Amino acid sequence: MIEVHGLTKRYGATTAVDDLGFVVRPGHVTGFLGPNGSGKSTTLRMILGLVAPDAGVALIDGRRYVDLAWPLREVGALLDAKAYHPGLTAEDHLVALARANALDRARVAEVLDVVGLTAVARKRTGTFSLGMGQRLGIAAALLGDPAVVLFDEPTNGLDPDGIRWFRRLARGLAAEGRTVLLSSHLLAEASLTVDHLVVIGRGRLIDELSMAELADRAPARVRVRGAAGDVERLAGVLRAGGLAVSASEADGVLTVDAASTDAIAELAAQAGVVLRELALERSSLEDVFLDLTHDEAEYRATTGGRA
Amino acid sequence: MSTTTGEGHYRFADVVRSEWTKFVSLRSTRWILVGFLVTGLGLGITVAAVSGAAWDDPSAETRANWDPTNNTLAGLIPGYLVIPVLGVLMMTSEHGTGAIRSTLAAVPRRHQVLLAKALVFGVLVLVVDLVVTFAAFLAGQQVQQVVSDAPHAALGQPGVLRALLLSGFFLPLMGVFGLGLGALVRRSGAAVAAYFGLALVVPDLLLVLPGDLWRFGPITILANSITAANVQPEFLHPSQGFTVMALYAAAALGGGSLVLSRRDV
Repeated sequence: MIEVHGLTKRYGATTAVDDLGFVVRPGHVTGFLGPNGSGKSTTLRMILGLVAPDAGVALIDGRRYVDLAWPLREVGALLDAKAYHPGLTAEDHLVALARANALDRARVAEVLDVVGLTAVARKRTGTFSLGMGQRLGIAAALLGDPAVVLFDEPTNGLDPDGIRWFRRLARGLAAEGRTVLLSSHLLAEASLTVDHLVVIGRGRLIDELSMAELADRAPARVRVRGAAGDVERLAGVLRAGGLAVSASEADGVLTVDAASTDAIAELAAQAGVVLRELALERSSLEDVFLDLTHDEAEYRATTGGRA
Repeated sequence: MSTTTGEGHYRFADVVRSEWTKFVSLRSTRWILVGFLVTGLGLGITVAAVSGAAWDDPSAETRANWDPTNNTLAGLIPGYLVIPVLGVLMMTSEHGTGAIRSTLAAVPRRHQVLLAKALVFGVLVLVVDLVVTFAAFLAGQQVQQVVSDAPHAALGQPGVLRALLLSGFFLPLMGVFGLGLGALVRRSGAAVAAYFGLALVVPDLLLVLPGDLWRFGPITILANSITAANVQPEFLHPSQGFTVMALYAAAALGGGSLVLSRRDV
């Protein structure tokens, strides 16, 4: 289990992580989501003791990282794809890490096999692609067979097959009872892997929720299309009925927020307007996520030229 | 999953094994050490031959300063330029590539990483330096006898064994100095520049300062104290020179350890 309490990190005038607190429980894959620059990587580095917090504490099964007896046997982490010396072979890199925590040398071959790098074990890592680098980082994270695993943007540079492979791996690790935390700025991708979410923006916690809870938050909208020529009258009828008709479009499609299809059908029937299409639509999880994080996005394109 | 995480705690010996694996697995470090071995030997023998050949009709001053031991140890000069840079890179390459995060995640007690690197690097350089020093001395004296009738040195003469042993320990100290500097400065370019500034420029600046600060420049200590069997009175005695070098190395390593332990990576 990972517990983060009141974690704060400032860089000069910028507060990268601001009084952040959350808990990551074993047996689930927890997604750590937020826009670019929201403090995800800084938080993961504070959990691993690589970055010292200005305030607060991160605990792994109740202990600070620096106090772990055998760090690699307790926590595995993929931080960035290039956390190795380019002159070392994949095997040398893993052997060096294994020795630092007195791990069995045989684990090196095992994890290379798990990530599919056996064939290039003796190649220098400087020649690796981003995807191979990610796989080597994942191998390093698994080396000590740890109960807690952290992955920072794990699918960066992985091809579609690799992404699917990683998804199975992460879910398998959680199914074995491990604590799995993976960061991403793309909900669409993470949503297929994670069952819990910790959402942050500008270094602050926005929400902690399950994927099911997130889905429930997706507001319902009804898509209505009337016969050509009837569109404006239909819009008027619905508005007169107290509904919020948000957009009237050229192709005759109206979008009605927070309404039932029954109410719309009845209003249309009373007014004698023929409906060609009536459909309940839930906005995508991505939309909900963007709504959650929109105000907290650090870097956002401004429309209409210079801000 | 590890249900038993093993007894105790990771030990310093584990960290040393890890650093050893990294260091000896790198092709570049092997080539640099072999390159130093070859040039160190070659230069020592060459200088012994050339200086011996110049003995013909020497002045009184040449006779008084004659130090055939020192003449065979010229090969330490390229080592003085290369070995500390290797020490710098041993640390800065980890910062530059992000490998430092893998390393420190495995060993969160960070000073152990720097000490392990110092031990691995220091011992390897010690072995190579001792080989270069003794081999260059023995071969250089032979060559000098062939090319001239200048007085040559032998191991049993006063000061000779001291000069060879201190020379063998000189480059390990300089290497550890570079390693500490790398931990202090972190960026390869800046740290290498800082080394050459301290090793080559500062000694020249000391020369123009009043007092005898010039005697403390590392290259002065190398050329005139540590490698000398026949020490001239204006220079530091070899034991003093060696102590000063050890203090330089300890200061850099201590400062580097402090920075490595405190700063974010």
